[in-house]
Amino acid sequence: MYADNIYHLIVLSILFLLSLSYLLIGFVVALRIINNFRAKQQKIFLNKWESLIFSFLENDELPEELVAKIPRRKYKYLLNYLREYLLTLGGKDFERLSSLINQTKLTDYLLKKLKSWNKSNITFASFFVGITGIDAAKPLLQKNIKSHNQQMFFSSAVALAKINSYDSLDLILHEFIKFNNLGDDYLLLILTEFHENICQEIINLLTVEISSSLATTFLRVLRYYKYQIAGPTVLKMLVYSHLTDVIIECLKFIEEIKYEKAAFAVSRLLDHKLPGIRIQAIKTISKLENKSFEAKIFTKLFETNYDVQYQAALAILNHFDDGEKELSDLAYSVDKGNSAAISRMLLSEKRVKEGK
Amino acid sequence: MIYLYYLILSYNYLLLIYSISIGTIYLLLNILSFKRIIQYKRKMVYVDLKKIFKFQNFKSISIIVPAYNEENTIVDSIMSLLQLEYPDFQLVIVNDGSTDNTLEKIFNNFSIRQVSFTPFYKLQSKQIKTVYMSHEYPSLVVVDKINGGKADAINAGINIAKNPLITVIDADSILERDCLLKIVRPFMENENIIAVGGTIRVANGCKINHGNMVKIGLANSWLARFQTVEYLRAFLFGRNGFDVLNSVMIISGAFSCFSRDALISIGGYREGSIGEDMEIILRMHNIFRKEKPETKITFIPDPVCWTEVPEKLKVLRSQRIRWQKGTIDSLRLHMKLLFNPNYGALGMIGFPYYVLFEMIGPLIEIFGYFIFFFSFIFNVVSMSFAVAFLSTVILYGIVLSILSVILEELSFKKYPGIKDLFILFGAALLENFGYRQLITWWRFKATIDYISGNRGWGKMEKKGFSIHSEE
Repeated sequence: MYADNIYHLIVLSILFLLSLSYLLIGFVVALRIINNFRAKQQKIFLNKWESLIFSFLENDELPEELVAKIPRRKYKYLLNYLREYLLTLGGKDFERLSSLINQTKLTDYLLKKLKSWNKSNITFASFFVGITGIDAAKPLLQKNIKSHNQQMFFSSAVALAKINSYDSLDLILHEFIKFNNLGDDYLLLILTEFHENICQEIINLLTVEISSSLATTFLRVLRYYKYQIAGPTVLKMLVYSHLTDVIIECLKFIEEIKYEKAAFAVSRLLDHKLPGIRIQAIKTISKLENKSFEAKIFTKLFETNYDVQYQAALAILNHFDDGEKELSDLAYSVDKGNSAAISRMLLSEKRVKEGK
Repeated sequence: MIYLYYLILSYNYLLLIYSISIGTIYLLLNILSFKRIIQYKRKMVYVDLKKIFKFQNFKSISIIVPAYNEENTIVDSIMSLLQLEYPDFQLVIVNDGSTDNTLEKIFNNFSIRQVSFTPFYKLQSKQIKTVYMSHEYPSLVVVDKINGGKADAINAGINIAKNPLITVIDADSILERDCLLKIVRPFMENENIIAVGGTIRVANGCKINHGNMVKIGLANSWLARFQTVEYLRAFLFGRNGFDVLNSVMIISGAFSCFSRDALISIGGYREGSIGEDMEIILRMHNIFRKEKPETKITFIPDPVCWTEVPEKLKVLRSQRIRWQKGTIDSLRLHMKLLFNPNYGALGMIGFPYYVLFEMIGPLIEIFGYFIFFFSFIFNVVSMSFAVAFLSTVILYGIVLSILSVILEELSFKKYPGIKDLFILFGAALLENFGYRQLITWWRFKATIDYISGNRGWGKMEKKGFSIHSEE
């Protein structure tokens, strides 16, 4: 009897799970139907309004005149439609399309959404206030960025960056730390939404003590903007830092802006104990086109580390004046082991690329 | 006689516990996966992958494609792979001593020329005869070698590969264009990651043109549809769930990405291995996690590789027998992981799960079905027991299959039509009446074969997209 009760319980539990699954089927089917309906509505909107929006781009119609013709309940479709164009267009067309948002009733519509409790509404609105630069949204974005919701944080941070709210930088960094599952790339994506002028703020931050990952991210931002002014600061970091990631990132920055004053400091790293740093140092110094270190790079061909040897051979081939000849001499000499084999390989690959 | 009665009764009870356990583990994995996939999706929604790669912060990849007698598909495959979105990759096609015109087809279509080569590393492989490079596509390298099997061909490819990340794919797989951008992300985010696997989906019913996915759809055959649901269950919540526990035990050989240094340091793929894709992952866990417990092998639910599944029972049978033998072989080689706390959840949960449910599970189930049937006939078990048992075997199975389709619909929604959705739900229901039992039967036979010393993996029948391709 006791066993029978257990069997009934098992069957009932499974039947409960099965009923739940069927309810979920109903739910996902309903979701699919709603999504299809919305897609259909978006299409209907497109058919009706697309031509008007295109003619707006070509003539001098006032933005509020066009928006006034569109019923409020269709705003979401209008914004959805504009999203792709705002992401891809630039110049005058972008300004015209932005004016449909930042000079019309749509601004109030979006600000209202930013104040709502609905996270997806906030995320949706943050994108548009950010990309069209609605300054009035700043206090709301600064409030929303403090959310524990990752999506709200990210969309608010990007919007603040897009409207170049430099005074929000500390807030963004402070809030970013809360989300330990967000990699540094996410911070990089946010910071590179600011105007290039953010680099000055970043240089200031690099002079204070920060973590290795933050320093690396900041250096990447400087590299992204090819910010020449940061050269001396980065050189100082290169000389004093003992952190592998930071050293490699400094080298990449120097390579990107071709900061020749750093050549001597970089050359010292050609003998660094870590192959990763030696490889990057070879890449950097060969881009600086400083002839005085060619002999040193040549010695790297005879290292024990294969990757370093390969990088040195590539540098000689691509950046030395007589690189091809030097590699040819080496390639067919005897008893040169790996360095000769790598030289032969690179030379034959070069010939294939040139179609010889 | 009474002892036999109690023995049979006990076996029935054990079988019921076994069925409830496996279903419940899957249910828990489903819950873990659901959370993980939703988090992953949210993270990816606002990531502009192309912009991230503009930061020049990526690692270059060498894609290794072992090819044996692929003359029908090799040109389309290469064209498709060359179009992948990634800032810097090298494509290494390893012609593993094909006896058809695979090499000639490459010659005729990609203007390849012989280059001098030096193997970067010394992984064991059969002799490389020649290495070619394409003048038209300098990132394309073709290695021509003596036949040695898939693992051997991959090792030869690794020896020639120049980049720090190695992606291994099957020659007849179709990759989504941005899959490399996605599969590399874990390596960029966490330096402890040494291998990443991606989701494999069923390509039957999809429209493929010259190696590119044109339209996603479902197959007409129910056998392929059952496998579609099966793949969803295995990849969306099986592997994702184990990933949460850092216990990914297998990464599909059809699409995987490794740190080259990690591959080199463990000596590459094991020659002659039946299930090389599982064996290499277990070996990686075995070697790296002992030294460095924070080492991670992960699985990404999104980067999708499409592959054609068998639509003939005979082909499916030989595939499943091969898979089962591969699983047993790999587990047997790394038994020291079993209940070994030094390997964390992998040793205490993941590995025991595979041993109990994947390795010896088919034996327990098939013997169990027979014993249950005769127990029921001879009134050893009651009607309520029978109902409970069948509920766990059939209804619980239906719940889990339906949940996997729901998970797919709430996350990636790869199948566009609402009709597809209903078909998937239909397949999730029907696969529990015969298909699953048939698969278990084949796995049972494979296990018996393996135990009795028949460990060969039989003849692998070639698949190909050419028949189904849209011209």
